[in-house]
Amino acid sequence: MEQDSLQTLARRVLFAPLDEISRTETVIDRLRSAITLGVLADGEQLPSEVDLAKQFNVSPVTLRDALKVLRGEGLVRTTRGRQGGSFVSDIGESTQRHLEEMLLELPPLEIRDLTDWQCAISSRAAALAAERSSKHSVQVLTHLVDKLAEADTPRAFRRAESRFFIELAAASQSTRLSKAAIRLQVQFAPIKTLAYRSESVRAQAQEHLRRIARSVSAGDGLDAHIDAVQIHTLVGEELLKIRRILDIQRAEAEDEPR
Amino acid sequence: MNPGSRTENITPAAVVAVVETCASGIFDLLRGASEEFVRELQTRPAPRVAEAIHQLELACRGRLAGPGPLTGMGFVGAPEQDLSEALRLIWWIKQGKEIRVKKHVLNPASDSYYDYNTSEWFGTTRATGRPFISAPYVDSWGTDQLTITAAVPLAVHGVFIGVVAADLDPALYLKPIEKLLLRSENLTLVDAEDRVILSSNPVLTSGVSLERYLQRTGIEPLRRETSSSTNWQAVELP
Repeated sequence: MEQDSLQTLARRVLFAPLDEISRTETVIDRLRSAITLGVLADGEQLPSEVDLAKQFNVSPVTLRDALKVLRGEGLVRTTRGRQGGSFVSDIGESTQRHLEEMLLELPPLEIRDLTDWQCAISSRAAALAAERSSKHSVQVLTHLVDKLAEADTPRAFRRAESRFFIELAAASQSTRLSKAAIRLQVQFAPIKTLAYRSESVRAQAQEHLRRIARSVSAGDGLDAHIDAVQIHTLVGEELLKIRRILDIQRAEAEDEPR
Repeated sequence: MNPGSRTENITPAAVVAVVETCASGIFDLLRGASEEFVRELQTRPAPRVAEAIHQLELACRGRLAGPGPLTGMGFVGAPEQDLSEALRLIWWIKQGKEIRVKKHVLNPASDSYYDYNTSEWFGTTRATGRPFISAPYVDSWGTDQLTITAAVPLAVHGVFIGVVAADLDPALYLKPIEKLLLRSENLTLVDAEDRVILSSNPVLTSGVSLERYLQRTGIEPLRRETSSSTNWQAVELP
């Protein structure tokens, strides 16, 4: 029923006990961010479980739980033995199958919601960057657009795009927008690789990003805002289309007589 | 990409038929749940309120325990009904496997005052005297959950006393319709205000105004079929 959740829901969320579960979630979040944004490189070995648990100030059990989830997502692989340990693995993003499974797990309305949220964050960041950006930031943005043109795989393109939006938020001089932009890239960016498999989507996206960089440089906030909305809408709609096709394929596979 | 080889020519009427089946299923469930409740309130010379509430609780708990789309269920009384204060609002919700009573703030001075009189599912059911089912809407206190609410009117000795209603998980409730639309290329289900509920066009997401989409694109719908019990429409586009 509408309107009444203040009583139960908000309270439940606001006063939820800070238990091991939320600690595990936090550790997962940090490691996932580090891997997705490329702070930890592919193949890099993580510190030993004992050391890593100490660094995060959590129990080894909590850390082990977190690593288990990341292994499930294909972001970490663990080997046993003398040379064993946990390694960063980019299989999660390089395997199309894995990405498609991730996309199927997101209901269409969740995709739309994430797209709306991205539009809100980056369009405001773009408008503010046009007012506040330093010359250096403009250079970085322009450089990232050039890198985009060189990207030869959907994944390389997606990574450059992610960096562009994080840099754009930084250029807006707003710490909250920056944090939100980083969080969004971590949550949503890997899946966007699927949309960038289309050459036409890449070409259109590249044009939007080029125009954002130009508008920021020229101090034209409104134009920067519009292009930021357009690129996220473009990618969001492409993801919805891909998801429907995957959905149909899944339904057909289920119908197939065994 | 090939969007599946098995798309068929599904008609708007076929979609409406499934919409009707789903709706009558939920309306029957609500009517069934209120039978004993109403019977106890009809007793002469005085209604047996405590027994009525007991029967309602049994009925609601039993139905919430099942695997279906129900997430909450109960009775909402008309403000002027003079049966009992205890019959203003009684509601049970399912949380995981547990079913528990949900309390609501009925003091208008409170920030979290729950004014069901303004809700569409209460007002429309009361005004028309017919069962009602809402389109999916966002639960407005910041849960990210969409809800569908269904309600049937109740009368005691011919006088409207309130509604028995249920909250439904839209994904589960709409599943049969969604499955049908997966096999089609050009059908969209809209609510009475022409807002999208489900569509075979992935870009037409829940809540989008179909009317504005048609204006913008210049597309003319080929056929429309209305479901009489819900006022939802299946629209066929070229």
